[in-house]
Parts: sequence; C-alpha cells; structure tokens
Amino acid sequence: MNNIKFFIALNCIFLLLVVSACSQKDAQLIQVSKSKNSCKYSKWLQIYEGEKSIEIKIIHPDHPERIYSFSGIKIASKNLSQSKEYILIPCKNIAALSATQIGMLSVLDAENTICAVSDSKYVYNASVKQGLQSGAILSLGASQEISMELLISSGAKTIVHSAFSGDFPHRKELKKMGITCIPNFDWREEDPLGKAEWLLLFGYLTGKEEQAKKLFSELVISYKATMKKVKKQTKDQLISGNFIRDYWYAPAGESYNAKLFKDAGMNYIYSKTKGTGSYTVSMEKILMDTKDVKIWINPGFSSRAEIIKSNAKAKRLNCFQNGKIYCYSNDLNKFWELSAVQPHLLLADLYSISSRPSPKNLHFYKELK
Amino acid sequence: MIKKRIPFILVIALLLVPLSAFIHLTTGEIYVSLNDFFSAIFEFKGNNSSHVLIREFKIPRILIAIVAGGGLALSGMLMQTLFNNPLAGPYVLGINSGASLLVALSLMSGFSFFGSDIGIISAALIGAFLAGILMMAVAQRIRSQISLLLVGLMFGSFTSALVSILESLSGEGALKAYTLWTMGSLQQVEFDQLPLILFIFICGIFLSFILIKPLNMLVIGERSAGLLGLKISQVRFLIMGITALLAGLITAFCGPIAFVGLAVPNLTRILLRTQNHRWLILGNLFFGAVFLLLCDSIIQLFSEQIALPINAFTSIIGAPFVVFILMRKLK
Repeated sequence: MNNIKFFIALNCIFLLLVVSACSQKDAQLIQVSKSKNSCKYSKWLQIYEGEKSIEIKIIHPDHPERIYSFSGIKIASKNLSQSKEYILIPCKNIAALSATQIGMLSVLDAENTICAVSDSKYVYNASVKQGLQSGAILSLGASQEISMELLISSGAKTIVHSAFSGDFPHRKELKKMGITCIPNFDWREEDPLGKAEWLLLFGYLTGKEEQAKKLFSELVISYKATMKKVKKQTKDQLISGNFIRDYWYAPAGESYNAKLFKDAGMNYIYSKTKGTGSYTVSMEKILMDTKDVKIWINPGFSSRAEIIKSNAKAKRLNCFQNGKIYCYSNDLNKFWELSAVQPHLLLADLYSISSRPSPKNLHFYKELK
Repeated sequence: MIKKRIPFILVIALLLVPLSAFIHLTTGEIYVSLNDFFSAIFEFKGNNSSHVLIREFKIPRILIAIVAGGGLALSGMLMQTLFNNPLAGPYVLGINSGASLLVALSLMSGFSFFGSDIGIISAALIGAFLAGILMMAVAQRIRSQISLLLVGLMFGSFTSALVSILESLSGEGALKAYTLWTMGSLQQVEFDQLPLILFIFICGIFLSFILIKPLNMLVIGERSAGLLGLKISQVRFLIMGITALLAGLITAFCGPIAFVGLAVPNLTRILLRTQNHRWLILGNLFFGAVFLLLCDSIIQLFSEQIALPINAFTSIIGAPFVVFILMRKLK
C-alpha cells in the first residue's frame, strides 16, 4: 500500500515538474512574442528578439494563415518542446539555395558559414567560388533538382530555400535529422527595402545581427537620400519588360519593380495598373502604348541583337528605334546576388538613368548597344 | 440541284473569308478603321504608329491565319484521301510531331545555323517530310485504318519522349525557345516574310489542283485506282510532298497548330457532301481560313483577360469535334 502511495506521489511530483517546465518555457516565449518586431518594411518576415532567444516568423505569401515559426537559441537543451522548431545560433553550416542568400551572407562577411549552394555556375562572390573550387562548399546542382544525398553529406544544419513550389522536399525527415529548412520569401516582397530587410534574418542566423542592423539602417538612409533627390517625376516615359512570344509582360503597378521606378522618379507607363506580379499586354497594345516612350528598362537581354533574335517585332517599337535601352546585364551574376541586398545602389542606377542624358558609373545597369 | 448547291456554299465560304478578316481586324485591342487600313496600305509612313500597327502587326497576322488555316485544312484533306481515313491529318499522323522533333533538335543542338530562322524552317520541312515518308511506309504494311492511326499516335508519343530527353539535356535558353514555339503563334511572321510564305502556299494549292483527278480516283481505294491505271507510288509521293510542304511551312512559321487539319476537312465534307476534290480543295481552303481567323479573333477578344496560345485554343475546339467524328463513324 505504501508503495502505491509512494508511486502516486512520485508521479504527481513528476507531473508538477513537467507542467512547471512547460509554463516556464511558454512564459519565456510569450515574453519573446510581446517584444517588438525588428522588421519594419518586410511583409512576410517577422523577428522578435528576447533576452535568451529570438523568434522568427515567416508568413507564406499565398497562404497567410500558414506561418513558419523558428526559435533561435544560443545553447542546446534537451528539454525543448517538440512542437517548435529550434535553430542553434550562430549557424555554422548553411545551405544557401539562391543567389540572393549568398549575397546577404556575403555582405555580412559570413561566406564561411556556407557549406552548400545550388546553381553554382551563377555564383558571383569570389570566396564562395573559391570554396566551390577547393571543395569546401558543395555544389548541389540546379535549384529545382537538388541532390539530397549531396545536401546531407555537405553537413548542412540549416537550409534556406526560396520555396517557389512550397515546402522543401523531405522537410520532416530532415527535421528528424536535426536539419532545419527555412523558407525565404524575399522574392515576394513588393518594397525594395522589405526585400533587403531579409538581411536581418541572416544576421540573426549567423550571430551578426548588430552588423546586419547597422548595414540595413545605412542602406535605408542611402535609399531615402536618393528618393529625396527626386523632386518630381521625369517627363520621359519608361517601359519595362519584354515580349514572351505573343505578349509583353511588364511589372504591374504595385510590384517591386514599379515601386523602384516610382522611388527613382521614373514615369512608368503602367504605374497605375493593379497587381504585384506581371501585367500582360498584347503586341498591338504595347506598340501603341510605347509610341512616345524614350526609355526601355530590363528587356532581359545583354544586347539589341539578342532582343531582335528573341522577337523580331521588338524592332518596331519606338523605344527600340529612337530610345535608350538599359538592362541589369553589366554583370548578371552580380545583379542576382547583390541587387536584393543593395536596393540603394539599384535605385541610384535608376535615378541616374532617368535624370542624366548619359549616366555613368552604374552599379548594375548598362546601356544596350 | 447538286451542281448549284456546292458552288453556292463555296461562294458563301469565299465571302466569309474577307468578312472574318474584317472581324479579326476589328476585334483587336486597338481599334482600326477602314480608312486607317487603306491609308496604311497605300500611303504607308514608317513614323506613323497606326500605319506600323496595321502593316507590321495586323496584316501579317491576318494573312498568316488565312494561309495556316487553309494550308492545314488542305494538307489534312490530302492525308484523309491518301489514307482513305477521315481521322487522318498532319497532327494525328505524326507529320507535326516529325516537324516538332526536328525543330527541337535544331534549337537544342547548339549549331548556330539551326538556331536561325532559315534553320528552323528547314528543320520543320525536313521533319514533316521524313515523318510523312515513315507513315507512308507503315501504311503499305498496315491495312487497318484504326491501326494506322494508333501507329501515328505512337509515333507522336515517341517523338514527345525524345523531345523530353532533349529538354532535360538542353540549356535554359533553348528550352524556353522550344517551349514557346510549341504554343503556336500567328504573330511572329514579319511583313517581309509574307512573299515567301505566300509563294510556297500558292505552289501547294497549284500542285493540289494538278492532282484532282488522281485524288478523285483514290476515293474508290488504292487497289481499284491502280487497276484503272493510276501510278499509286508516284501519286503517294506527290501527295506526301505537298502535305509536308504545307504542314512544314506552317509549323515552321507558326509552331504546331492542332486539329485544324483534322476538323476542317471533315466539316467541309459534311457541308459539301461531295467526293469531288475540285470542290473539296476550294472548300478546305476557305473554311480553314475562316476557322482560324475566327479562332484568332476570339483570342484577340479576350486577350486583356487571358493570354491564350493558338495551339491550345484550336485543340479545345477541335478535340470534341474529333470525338464527334469518331462517334458518327462508330454508328
């Protein structure tokens, strides 16, 4: 009988301990959640900084009810709730599966945390290229067909992926192996500063949050300084995009690119259209809409000859015959890697293009001949 | 009575061609008046956007719709007569697949010649002709119409598989170029290319008219026609040559356009109720042109809402019609 009483008492004590541990943990997390979101511009990223941990929330742009939550902790513990995903920070082995992620890690001087990349032929950063050559960084193949075996053998503990087609494959199995998959929706941001703010995520992940905050606030100041230079919209009309077979795909009026054009004081002809993606225009409409356009931005090619080869009808456009064409093709890999984290330089380029007859010292852009 | 009915239908069909062209002209997003149209033709000014729109965009699109519709319908009719099968056509019998395979090979091979316009056109013509020869060889051995169609479909699947392998091996640029080409388009033709296209098209029609008598004899079956003195192998070669020329020309400039070559010849036979190829050639030319002009007008009408590729649209309309023909045949 005494044994039974002892057993019940022991169980009660154990239960009390568990409940108290859980409530302590919850209290700690509640404390984190009550802190202020560190991200001011991003639509899909939220970071809450606590004393002992940080909470990262990533909202799925197509399903806002789906929120990916991660708790960044500095010391590993066995008493962590299984319902949450924990990231031990600073992360040492990161698989960066898009160019913008490499760019963000590189401006933080954290390339040494990269253990694997995809689409290695498009890498711009010199030290990552060197790492790929020496074998310190593994190349996982094309981003849509990543080799899982190579990924696991790279020793990655954190995978940051662009989530173009939803969750990362085998996410649950990887979690069991202690590998955390973090979706990155910077490409869905409509505000250039919101896109650049994803730098903070990489700052927290690598333990360089102070450096990330400093860099971000500097680029915001620089971006806004360029915006202040814009006194009024330029008169010259601007078009962006290009033909894809029978239709012209231009950035819609509420998109990332349209925001950049607006901030640079450019007179973008489809600035009043609705939508954050593409605005589709028929061939005949684009011909008539662009009859007074003088500047063509982002045709997606490096020369006029390539534009014509892609679609001969482009030579009928006034902006092709009598206007100037600029594209981010000064160094394509540099553009894809750094433009997201350097929107102030991107804006400076666009401002120069719109305000000067012969813009010089462009960072990403060049005039097509 | 019959003598009067067929010319009457053909005159109406002929009148429908300019009417459909007018509908096509007016359904675009940018309104074009007849005044603008004629002034763009007779008083063209390169710096006038309306003139450029009409001359470089509208006219080539309308003319290529007429050529592609008429040409595909005519080549479909030739196939149906040659194989004595209402379900035969350049698409079903793998002629388009042959052209597509060679275009895929040319675009993804990396040779600069094949990447050029002339390279793509040559590849489409050779592919169409080779596929035609292959199907003709198969037709010699297989008498069953359904089996022949199945062979055509299998050939289509086989070429699709080869194209998939090529796609997986090719670079992004070539893959994009090929994928866009497969959607079909009536808007890629330049005004300067029209004389060449029209010349080949007229040659195809002219050669078809020369073959009226042999085509009429083939209706009673190859064996009977042979007994009547028809040189079957020569006729076969000529018919296949004309079909490959027309289907290859259209596939090269517009990409694959499905079901026109299958649906329109059947529709023409139903309307004209004749086996005389003198009327059938004219009927297919007129109805094919009207069919494609109207299909493209509908695409233009909804272009603000949805970017429809012509190949997808003709398939949506053509596939149910083929099912209808099959059910009619089974009855």
